[in-house]
Amino acid sequence: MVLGIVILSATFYFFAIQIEAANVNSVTLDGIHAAKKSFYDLEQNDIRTLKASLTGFVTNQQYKDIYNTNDRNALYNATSDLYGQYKTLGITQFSFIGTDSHTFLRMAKPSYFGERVTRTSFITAQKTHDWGTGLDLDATAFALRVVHPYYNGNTVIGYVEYGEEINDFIRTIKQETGNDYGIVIKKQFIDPTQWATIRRTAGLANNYDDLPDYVVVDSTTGDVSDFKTYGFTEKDLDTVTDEGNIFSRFSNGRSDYVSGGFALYDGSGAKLGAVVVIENVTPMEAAARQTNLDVLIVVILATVIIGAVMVIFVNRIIIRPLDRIVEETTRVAGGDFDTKIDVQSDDEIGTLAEMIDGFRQIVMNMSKELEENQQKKE
Amino acid sequence: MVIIGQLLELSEKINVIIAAKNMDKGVTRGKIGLKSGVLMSFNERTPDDPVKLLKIKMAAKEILGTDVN
Repeated sequence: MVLGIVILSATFYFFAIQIEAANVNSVTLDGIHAAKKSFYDLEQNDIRTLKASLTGFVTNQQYKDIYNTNDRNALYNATSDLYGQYKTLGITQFSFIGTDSHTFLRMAKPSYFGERVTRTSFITAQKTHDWGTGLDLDATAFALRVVHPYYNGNTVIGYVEYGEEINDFIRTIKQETGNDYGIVIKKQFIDPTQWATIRRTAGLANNYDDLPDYVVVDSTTGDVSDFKTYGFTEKDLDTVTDEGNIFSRFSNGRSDYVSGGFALYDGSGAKLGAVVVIENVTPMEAAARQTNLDVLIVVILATVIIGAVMVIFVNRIIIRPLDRIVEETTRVAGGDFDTKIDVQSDDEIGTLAEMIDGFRQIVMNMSKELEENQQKKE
Repeated sequence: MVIIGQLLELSEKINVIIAAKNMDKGVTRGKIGLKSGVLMSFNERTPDDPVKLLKIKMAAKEILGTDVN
């Protein structure tokens, strides 16, 4: 019985561990899918917000008149208060782009103007004379941008661009889920010199060479240089799916994590890299282990109780009657014919007892007859 | 010539040993009977049989742990 309990418990525990691992992966995969949905929901919501703000601006004639004077300083002075308010709302990019595709005024850095804009959102607005939106990665920032032509009557006099950096996205999702996130981009989309400048300006070490083919551009885990150690390989990033998939399971310190991610595209549909999701599964595993332990205890207790009941049942129904039959049959062999083999049961044991008692009577009668014959002879 | 009484005598010696050892008389005699293949039911008219005597002595030694002579 003890061996049975051990085998049953070991078998149960083996399968419980397999199920637990599958459950953890399943929950993490659900988390990755939820993160992807949150990411793109945030993108759509923020596009709507940016569009609403930008619509208000491009229809304001007062600002348009100043823009038409072609006086960069006057435009900056007129819109700087507005830009200050925008920044408190997360709109960090506010630019005017000329019809020649070069920046006229960049509110974040007024001294930087005249650069050619090639971002997809701008190109779309330029081609369609309507909204251009989407995630764009340029040399300095990975941001969600909306661009709209600046009309004077029916004439396009330029373009206005609003944008927000998407690091707010992954921090917002982290607040919702508790998981950590990182944005990892292929190097072909990043200018190494400008990336080095950005990092130096921020007082951070240049992480461009941390990975051979990718750069971690943002993460929720502190410095992006740390993020490369979080359970993913470049092969994982190369093969990441659009809907999201699990990369690996790994330990860091005393905690266990599952990493995964989903593919990240820019506004033109180019696959830039991936959003990597890191879920700390330690609490989930601990809860699963506790549940397994509870179930294991119940299984062992149930096995012991069922086993004990079976032992009592078998002893009462089979063993004890058989012992009585053996003992009483032995007495008959010892010459004690008066002991009746009396086992009352309607089963095979009762039939056996009845049969052996019949033999007892036969032997008893034969013994008496033999004795009587001997008496007659004498 | 038939020798009368040896089996009964042996049977009674076995009873004495069983009583001395405080064993269950019916069960112990039955074990000796089953071991020897002899029904342990004797009286003063039971004819002696050297083969049965030997078999019972061997079985009794094994069951009682002592020689019965």
